[in-house]
Amino acid sequence: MNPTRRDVLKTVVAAVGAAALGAGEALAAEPAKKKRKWGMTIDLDRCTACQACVVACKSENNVPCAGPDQMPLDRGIYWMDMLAIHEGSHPEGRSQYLPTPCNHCENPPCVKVCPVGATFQSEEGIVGQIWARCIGCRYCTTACPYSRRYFNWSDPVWPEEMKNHLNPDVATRPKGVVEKCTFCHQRIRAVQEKAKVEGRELEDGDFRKLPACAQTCPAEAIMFGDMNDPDSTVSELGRSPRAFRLLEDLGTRPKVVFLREAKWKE
Amino acid sequence: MKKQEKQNTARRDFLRGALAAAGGFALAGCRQTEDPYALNRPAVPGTAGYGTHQEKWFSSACSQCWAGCGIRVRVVEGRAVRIDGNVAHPINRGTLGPKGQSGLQVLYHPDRFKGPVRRDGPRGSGKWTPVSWDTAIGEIGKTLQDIRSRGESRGVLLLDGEPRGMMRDLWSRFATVYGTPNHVDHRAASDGGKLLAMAYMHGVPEIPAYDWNSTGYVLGFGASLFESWCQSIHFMRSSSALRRNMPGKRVKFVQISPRHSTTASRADEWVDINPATYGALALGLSHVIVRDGLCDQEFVKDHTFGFEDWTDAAGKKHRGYKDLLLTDYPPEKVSKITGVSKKTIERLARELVDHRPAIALADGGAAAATNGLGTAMSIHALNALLGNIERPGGMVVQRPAPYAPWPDAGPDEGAKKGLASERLDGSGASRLPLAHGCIQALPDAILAGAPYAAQAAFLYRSNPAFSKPGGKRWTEAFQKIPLVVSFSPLPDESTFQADFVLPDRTYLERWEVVEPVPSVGHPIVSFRQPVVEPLYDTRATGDVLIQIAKAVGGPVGDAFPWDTWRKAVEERLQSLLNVEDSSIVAGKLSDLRKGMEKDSGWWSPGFKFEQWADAFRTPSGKFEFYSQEIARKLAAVPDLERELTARGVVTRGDDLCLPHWELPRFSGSAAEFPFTVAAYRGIEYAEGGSRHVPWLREISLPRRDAWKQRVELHPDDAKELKLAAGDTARVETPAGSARMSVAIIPGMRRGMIGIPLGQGKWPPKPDDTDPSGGYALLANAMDPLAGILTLQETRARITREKRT
Amino acid sequence: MSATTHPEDFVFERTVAPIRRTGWGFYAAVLPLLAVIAWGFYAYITQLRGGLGETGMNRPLYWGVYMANFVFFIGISHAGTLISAILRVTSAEWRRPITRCAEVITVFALMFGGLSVLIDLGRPDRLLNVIKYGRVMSPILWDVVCISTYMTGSLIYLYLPLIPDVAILRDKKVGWTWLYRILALGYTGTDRQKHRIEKLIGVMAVLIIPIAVSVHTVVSYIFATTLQPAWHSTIFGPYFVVGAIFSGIAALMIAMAIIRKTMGLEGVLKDIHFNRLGMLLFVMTCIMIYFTFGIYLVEITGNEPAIMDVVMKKVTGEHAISFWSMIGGGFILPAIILAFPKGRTVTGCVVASVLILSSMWMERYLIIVPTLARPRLPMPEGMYTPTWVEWSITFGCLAAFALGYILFAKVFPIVSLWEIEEGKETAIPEVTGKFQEYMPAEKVN
Ligand SMILES: Nc1nc2c(c(=O)[nH]1)N[C@H]1C(S)=C(S)[C@@H](COP(=O)(O)OP(=O)(O)OC[C@H]3O[C@@H](n4cnc5c(=O)[nH]c(N)nc54)[C@H](O)[C@@H]3O)O[C@H]1N2
Ligand SMILES: Nc1nc2c(c(=O)[nH]1)N[C@H]1C(S)=C(S)[C@@H](COP(=O)(O)OP(=O)(O)OC[C@H]3O[C@@H](n4cnc5c(=O)[nH]c(N)nc54)[C@H](O)[C@@H]3O)O[C@H]1N2
Ligand code: SF4
Ligand code: SF4
Ligand code: SF4
Ligand code: SF4
Ligand code: SF4
Ligand SMILES: [Mo]
Repeated sequence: MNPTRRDVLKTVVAAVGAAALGAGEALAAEPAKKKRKWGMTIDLDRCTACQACVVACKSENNVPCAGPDQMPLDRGIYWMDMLAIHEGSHPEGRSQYLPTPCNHCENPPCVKVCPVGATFQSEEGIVGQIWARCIGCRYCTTACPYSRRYFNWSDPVWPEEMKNHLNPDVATRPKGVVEKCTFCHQRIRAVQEKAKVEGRELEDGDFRKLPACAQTCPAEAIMFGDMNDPDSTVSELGRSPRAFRLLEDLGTRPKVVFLREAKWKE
Repeated sequence: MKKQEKQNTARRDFLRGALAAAGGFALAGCRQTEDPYALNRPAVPGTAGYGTHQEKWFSSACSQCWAGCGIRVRVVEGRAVRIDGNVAHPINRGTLGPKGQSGLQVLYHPDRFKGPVRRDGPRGSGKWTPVSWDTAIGEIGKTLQDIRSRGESRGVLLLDGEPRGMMRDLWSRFATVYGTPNHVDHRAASDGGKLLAMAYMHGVPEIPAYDWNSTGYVLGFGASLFESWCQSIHFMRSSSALRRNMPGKRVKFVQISPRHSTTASRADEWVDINPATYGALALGLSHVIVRDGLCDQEFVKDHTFGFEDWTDAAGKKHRGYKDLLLTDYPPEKVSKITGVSKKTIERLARELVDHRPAIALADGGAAAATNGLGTAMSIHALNALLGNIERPGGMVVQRPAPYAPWPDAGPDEGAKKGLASERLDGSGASRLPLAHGCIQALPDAILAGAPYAAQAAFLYRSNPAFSKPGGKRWTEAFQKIPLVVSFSPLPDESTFQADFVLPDRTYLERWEVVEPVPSVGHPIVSFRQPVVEPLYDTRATGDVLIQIAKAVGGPVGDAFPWDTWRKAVEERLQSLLNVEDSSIVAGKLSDLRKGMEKDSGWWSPGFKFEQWADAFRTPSGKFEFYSQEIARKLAAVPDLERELTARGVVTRGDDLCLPHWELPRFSGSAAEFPFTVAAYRGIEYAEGGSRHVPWLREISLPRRDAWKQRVELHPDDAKELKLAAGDTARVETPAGSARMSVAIIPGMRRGMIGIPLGQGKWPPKPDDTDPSGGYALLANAMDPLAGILTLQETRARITREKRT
Repeated sequence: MSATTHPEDFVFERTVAPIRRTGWGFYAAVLPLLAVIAWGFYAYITQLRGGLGETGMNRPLYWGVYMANFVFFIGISHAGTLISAILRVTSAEWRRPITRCAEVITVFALMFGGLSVLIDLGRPDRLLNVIKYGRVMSPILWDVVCISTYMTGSLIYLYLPLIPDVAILRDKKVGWTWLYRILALGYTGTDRQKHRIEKLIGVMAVLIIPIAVSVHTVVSYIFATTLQPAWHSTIFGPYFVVGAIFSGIAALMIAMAIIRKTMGLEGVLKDIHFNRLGMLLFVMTCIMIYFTFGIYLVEITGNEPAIMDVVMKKVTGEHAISFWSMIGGGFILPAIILAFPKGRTVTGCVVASVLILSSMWMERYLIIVPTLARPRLPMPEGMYTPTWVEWSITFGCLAAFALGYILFAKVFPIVSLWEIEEGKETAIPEVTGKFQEYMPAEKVN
């Protein structure tokens, strides 16, 4: 891919992203020396396809359930989804399960197409979503080659009682807007603020299992952290020969790195 | 305000502001400071005790399965908003499975009973009127008193879904002092096979713990290690570590199962096998190991009984396990039975030996067959041959937590008489001589009124009309019982038959000491406490049982010295103080509680191996290939030969006491029912009681089928039957029929249909004629001597049905 | 020539007839249309309340009928202004009676093209965000810019030639004279005025061509700039432009046929016009076939799995029937009909146009749906069945389009009176002049 073009696009994206962040970005205020670049690794050799990450994400981020009427219509919302890939059939079949959050691409096709800057790339590399600005054109959803963006086809419904378990740190979304994985930025902000109050530098350990999905994963397959820090777990794992990214040839440069060894060897 | 305090407040305010800002981040671009879409949330009790934005964290224990994971619950303004794993807890170490994550939706489920109710209308109508706690408890106590004074206490059935822990102890105590032998659990329908194998070969009827972290090889016989199984969460962590935490080394996990399940797909190797033939394969592997002289000679010699041929005290010659293996189970024969190639058998046996310490295990469904006991014993025996018992990297019997037992209740004469009666389910008696309980035999006995009539039934965490074969039969049986009481917090099929519903508090609203299923290898209890104020007019069943006992009065009431359930809980915790070698050493209850609140449990550190002194509690004090206990029990059966013939058991003599192989017996003829049912629990299923939780229902794969009851077919079978994904099909078995949505699953074996359990409609309707989500399609068949419910041997046919 | 010396010929009479009287035919046409519009409106209200969940769209089929409508309407909008401009710029004399009815198509088609996007929005209430927070990088913004420019241009381009006509009506005191007085801007037909208008029209005609081309190019860019299989293609720009002209001409011929029939203008919109437009359409059909062939050939020989998935869905999969009837009925058959002079009769042209128009809608649909149904990651295949809401709104839009057209003809001359008149006066000298220009020069310098 042509670096010049990419750089040009990046500058524009960064500019727009920064503008979109507005007041929010002012709060980023972590006394870090270097700019962070958030990324995630998902080890498929560890993952057991339990989907705890899927539920944890729903719970942390107030992602609505679609219910029995809408689920058969493919209207479910999963910031973290589980992709099941089957090849062949019994007894020769193979199956692979991939937990798939947003890749927070470094060169995100979704951001480029949004007419109103409702989706943007933050300085720390999070591809965020401004729900209150989105006009619901669903251009980003079609532009994302990973189908990692979700549209609210109707107003979210929770049974009256279940509204009690909504996370107060995350806004619920109305019908007609797109939503997606945010790398649990509310949690990142929280630790950054806390560290600031405590006058402490943040370390890799503070982030490794910070997002709800990473925190809950029984197999410890999901790791999170700063890809600009060469010593972070994610950077280390990212250098592994097992590492790969989804649809790498598209040049989107995902910041979610999968790990997989071909097979068990004697 | 003091300065220090002021500072704290300022800091807290700042943090709060920061948090709010973080929440607003997504909206920041619009410079919106408030969340314009915040939903109006209904009032809940307990919010008054909280300041605005104030949050607290509580440590407690999950209850979505019996694994006993430690949790931390975030409560903001009195509302529980998040459940995380507790990092300090040794079972889950801060992680949590999908069922554990979903607990909030159980707590805030809209269908919960809001207070005690009494049936209004005929049984099963699902109509209720509110009743006061005093009235309900008074009336139930009175009825129980009457039954007992009539000398019919044995007719009271306590159906207890909890396999271990304090509530089970409480029910058990009640059974003892009241005088009924019918404290019935679900184990015959669950891990029964494995428990019996442990009971007869080890002398300890308890699931063993596995030392995953230092094992060299894992061979799973149909065990659903990544989907159900109570040690799943622990195994998930360990298996992940086994594969990736040791540079240059990766422990192999081989899964054997007829269905290419999620577990199979996540294993390093999957071996396809004919349904219900695990036992034969285990015997074949053992044959190779023994034939080639590869078993752990030292272990076999020092710690086992019945390997070589032996002569008993009476001078009678007995066959040893070695002889049985070498003569009866050559790989050629085993290969024919199992469909696993001779080459694979030889290779797997070699791998097991070469990668010692290796673990061979079966669980739940795998040993749930008409040949269940023999199968479970055969698999378990592999561990002994490999010398993996009580050794690092193998399995140990996890010792219980050393809390002080309650003083003996001391049944009175009346109670003793009741206790001495034969159990209504026939287990232990000549009907099912080797069984430790057989819940699925109850409906027939109740309907027949034999050996005696059922007087009352208590349903604690039990919904047999849904979770046991022949749900309709249960409904009929309940009609015959004069008093049925359910403690379920949510409506279910069995609860519809109840006269009273005395709703329990959910696990996030009550006190408890939890004894997790063994998994980490050392004594452990998890501690449960309310994290929010109880939402409704509910009472912990512990409290209610104590109150009922008091209402019965006399020695029954006296046996429950606690005013409240919470007192009993605290007493038990107190008794764990200052136990040597434990996670908490403290002098006062308050310190203990503090420790518990942080750690959400009590445990002693680390595995202990080679504790030979109390490892085996068999007559020989060793691991028994030949179970003397089985021999003893069978000897007590009058005219054993006739009984065996009548039940179609082919095995005779010593082989009955050894690991052995019986042909599986399928229900339904192959001609009439060409398919075999593979009923299984997906990860999204948390037993029947939680099949209503949206978060879990919607992780179903394929997603489109979430909320539907589906039947899974191999693509070629589907093609032959002209069935396409999404079609509606009728599935018929000898036991019943139901409509299901067709799913085409490449991992399904040809000739088998997969039925993920616990799907289907919610809320359950009393008049539901199509209870597809339950186990209604499974035949009520079992191991003829051990009473293990078969879950694998029901045949079925499937036909296309037009959408109505 | 002054504004008062217009002939009272049959062109004038027939054209002005609907403005003068409201016959039963008017009601017969308008009332059913109103009913369909009202129903569509009801459907839209339903959608507003329930959200886009009322449609058949889902993940990954994020776009459906509405986007197809959008592309389709924008496509036929090319009928008018672009064609009329090209004809004007090339001084094609036979254009005179058809420019107006072509230009009107543009205006209304653009209106409903734009509206289709609005209907497709999850949050139409936030439409202004596009202005408030507009991001130049987004092809949607390019569309907004191009389409609104095209709309403005087209309105001007429709309006300018209308000025002399409304002046005539004003002077003749026919119909809504007060309105014509305002719109005529005091035009009296002086030579200076006329000269100025013609000059302006000339400038607009030149300007509008690149704008029109840009419009459908950027519409195609909405798709082509994404990484989706079978969208990410450089040919999409010209392909869409050609497709637009193609469907535009078809729409125009249908409109002409109806006008000719209902207003008895057989003597104005003559067979020769159909013959000529038919030829043009034939050429476009050939280019369409050529492009389509090229696209699929390249895709199939490239054999990239993600793209092949999409292609096979159309060629042999669930969309095969639509696809092949589009190719056969929408491209090949019209080409055959239009290839021969015998086919380029009014009937022949109308038949071909109807086939083309419906196929072109299908073509739009088949660009959007199969690609979205086959995301790049191996997810379960998307499925999409439009709901009654989508169909109702679609038909509501079509009805509103027709209604707009009828109402226009009710208020304004649908045939440019003065241009025909002018043609009579200037055509022969002009053509002769031209002819002389082409002739071999008498002496060589
Ligand atoms: N997700 C989930 N986890 C749970 C529970 C739950 O409800 N949901 N319940 C908990 C409880 S109470 C228990 S007892 C444990 C039990 O959990 P496990 O002990 O693992 O038992 P099962 O899940 O019943 O059966 C294991 C597997 O056996 C397979 N199977 C093996 N061999 C055969 C065969 O020959 N034929 C057929 N047809 N199937 C075979 C089934 O497909 C199933 O996947 O799980 C606990 N964990
Ligand atoms: N075919 C087939 N049959 C099986 C199995 C299988 O794998 N296949 N599995 C078997 C196994 S392993 C088991 S353990 C049994 C399970 O069978 P059951 O023990 O009957 O389990 P559930 O159907 O979940 O019903 C439990 C009831 O407890 C209620 N409940 C939930 N939480 C609480 C609480 O906190 N307090 C009280 N008082 N009640 C509560 C629920 O609402 C529900 O009504 O099923 C067995 N049956
Ligand atoms: S994965 Fe999709 S949504 Fe996420 S950044 Fe990349 S293109 Fe955007
Ligand atoms: S749907 Fe929202 S976020 Fe996506 S492109 Fe449109 S306005 Fe932007
Ligand atoms: S990082 Fe957060 S938002 Fe993204 S998938 Fe994980 S839990 Fe969901
Ligand atoms: S929680 Fe972990 S193990 Fe479970 S599906 Fe997600 S990544 Fe895989
Ligand atoms: S394994 Fe069992 S106890 Fe642990 S989180 Fe899952 S459901 Fe809860
Ligand atoms: Mo169980």
